[in-house]
Amino acid sequence: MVTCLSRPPSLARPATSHPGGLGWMVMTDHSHDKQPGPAMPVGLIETEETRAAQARADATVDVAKETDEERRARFEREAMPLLDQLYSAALRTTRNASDAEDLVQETYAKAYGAFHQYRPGTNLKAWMYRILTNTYINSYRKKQRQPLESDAAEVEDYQLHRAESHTSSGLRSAEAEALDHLPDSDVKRALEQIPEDFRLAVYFADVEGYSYKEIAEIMDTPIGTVMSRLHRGRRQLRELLSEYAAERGFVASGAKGAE
Amino acid sequence: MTKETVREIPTPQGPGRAHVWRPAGPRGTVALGHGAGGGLGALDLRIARDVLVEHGWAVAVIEQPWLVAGRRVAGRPATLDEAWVAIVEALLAGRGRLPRPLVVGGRSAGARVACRTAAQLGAAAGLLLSFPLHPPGRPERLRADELALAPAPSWVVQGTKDPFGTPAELAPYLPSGTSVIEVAGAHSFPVSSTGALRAALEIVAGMLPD
Repeated sequence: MVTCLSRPPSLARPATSHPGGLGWMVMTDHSHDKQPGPAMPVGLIETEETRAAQARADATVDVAKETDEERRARFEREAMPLLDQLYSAALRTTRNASDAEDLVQETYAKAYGAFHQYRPGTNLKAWMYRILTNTYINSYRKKQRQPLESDAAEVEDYQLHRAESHTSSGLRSAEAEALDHLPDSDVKRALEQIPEDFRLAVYFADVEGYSYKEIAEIMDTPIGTVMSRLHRGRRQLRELLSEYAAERGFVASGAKGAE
Repeated sequence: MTKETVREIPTPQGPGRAHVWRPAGPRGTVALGHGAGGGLGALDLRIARDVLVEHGWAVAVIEQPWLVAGRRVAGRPATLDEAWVAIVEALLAGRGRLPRPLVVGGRSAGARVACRTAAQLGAAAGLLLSFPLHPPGRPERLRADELALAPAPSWVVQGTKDPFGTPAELAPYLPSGTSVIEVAGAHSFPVSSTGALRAALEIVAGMLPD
């Protein structure tokens, strides 16, 4: 793997033609599209105006009424010009020409499959970069042992996911989740009884193990405020839990060691 | 080895500073802002800087005037935006200016500033570190409207347990051109996250369009 780390100059910036060997399963019969050379039949020369008109039409197309053939043609017009840029990104990321080709091919296949979900007139390049990123991360996770994860939403259904994520229970904080999982209900009840700012300070310090400085950043308050909240939060907890501690046989004040 | 240069830049909020690393023939410029805690040395900011410079980007870490002045508390959002825009525009103008394309970003509060001002600065892409979707414990107070202003494309590097918003919480509010890369951790990353952060930022650096 060490041998391919530098970019071969010929592949660093594919200029006009896409890299060889890409099996464009999604795009049939368009090999003429990318051929360089001035000898285009007169009837096919595109003017700036016709291109601009086409782009305006593409930006306002009603996806629901489009035929498959029209969508395929629109995909080629809009997505194919991005190929060189996406390939460059893939090559920089994979550092390997054949992996980059695979990545770009898979990205285009996924993008084509999900193209009905792309909202015309929005930034297609950014949409394609998201697919490229997620596709790369998913392949990366297969190779490595999951040190990284993409956003779990597959491109094919991320919009469904978008709708489903708004559950009636609402979005919960990590702190609320953690409180739910505290095994001991007395401790949990005590934590829930103290004011939220104190509870958060105690939670971040004593459960998450953050430093004062980190808690100050998290809570957007000066360090002194964190120390004060932590002090008061712990004191309130201690009072609330003294009964509990006595029941469990912990000693409240210094009679004997806590064996 | 790219050296740091520090420039003091006047803003309507008082002088700010730009810490600039400029490799030879940069591909473009990445401007990064710090969080509300003022940590210029936050692990993710440091690793982002290192990786981006290795990939040939000029990197400017912007120090807000409140921090330069030695205050402990960050200014209000509008004052942060005003200072940030003044500093980034100064870096992109005049003799020795840093080149476009401009990528804007930062960590936490700095990521919010980058989103709010992206259109004004004509940013080509975004890098958002630990984007604070909501204050901890207050999931109802969303800053989704600011995330919606992220440049397209953008990449978010987010801790899996971030109390300001987990990647799963971010998902429904992501603009369609914004990718999330999860890194094990919470809002600030411990040293043990170095490897995972580097891997995440290598992906962003590779993907960033020039």
